[in-house]
Amino acid sequence: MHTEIASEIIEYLHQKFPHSSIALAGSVANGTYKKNSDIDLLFINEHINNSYSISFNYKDIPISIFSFQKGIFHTHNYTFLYNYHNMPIAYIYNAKIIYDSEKIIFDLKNKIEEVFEKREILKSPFISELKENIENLLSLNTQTYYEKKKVVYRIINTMISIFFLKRHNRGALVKTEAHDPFSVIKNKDFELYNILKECLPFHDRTYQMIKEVYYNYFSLNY
Amino acid sequence: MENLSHLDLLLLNENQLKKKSISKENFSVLNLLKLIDDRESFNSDFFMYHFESTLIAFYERIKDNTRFNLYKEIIKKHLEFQISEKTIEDIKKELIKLLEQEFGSKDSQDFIIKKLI
Repeated sequence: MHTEIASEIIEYLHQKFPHSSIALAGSVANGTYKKNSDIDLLFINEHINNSYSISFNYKDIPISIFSFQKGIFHTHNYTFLYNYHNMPIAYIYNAKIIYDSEKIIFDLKNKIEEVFEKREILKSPFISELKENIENLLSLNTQTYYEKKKVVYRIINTMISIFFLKRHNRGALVKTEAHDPFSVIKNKDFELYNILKECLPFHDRTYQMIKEVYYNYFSLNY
Repeated sequence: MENLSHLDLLLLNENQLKKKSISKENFSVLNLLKLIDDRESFNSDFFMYHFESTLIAFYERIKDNTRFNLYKEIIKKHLEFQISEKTIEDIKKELIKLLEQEFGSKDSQDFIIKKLI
């Protein structure tokens, strides 16, 4: 059902916008979709200068069309370099191209390969910078429960970015991994996974535990 | 929606996409509600963390906006304690109220358009 609906929408868009680039993304593209999965499509047209997501239901199936600007990797380069949860990269890199006469999606995939190359070359200074960010956060004089919670969650998000830079810096995460990075951490660093499991969600001992984890384990292993 | 022709105007003219894009606050509320609905797709050990960190991001977005005075106080009170299942239930009720009162019911929108990055 999903593949039929996806084909219907793709052919409709191609008929209406014959020069646009169209690809199938997400779980329908890689065959892992379930009954309640979305259908994700890429639609890139030279006349749309910004990036949008358009969500709607069609024949009771949720559809998302992502339209990315051609120059997306030029204008937001820094964000893409060390942010593990990176939706445009994930969708574009893993997408199945259906129509691409202007080679726009093909070029974007090549740009993503360049991002991966840069990540590999720059991962050490990136990791140093992110560790410095964590140490600055740990040195803040946080007073309230909420402020401590906010700082801890920022630290954990940064730790996850460092984990992916160190252990998983090539290739784009699929949607499920990006939504749940802990499944990847569990496979590659079980000790870190268990430590984070003890700390989360935030409770009275979390702040102190994260501080100890960072200095006694994380900063030494990453 | 059963008719794809509604897409034509949106994709033909970027001004339509800009005009109909929802605000970041609106999108954040929808995102939080979807997170709760899709709970089973998350690692159960970390769902509460996902939810709470997303809620914090939303609170930080609205905390200086007087339009959301009533809701931000309620959210802040919950964030000052350890999260529980009750927190999620209470927050869900507030988010649904916020969605209806500030942004209109989701059911009335054929398309949800968000400007990215």
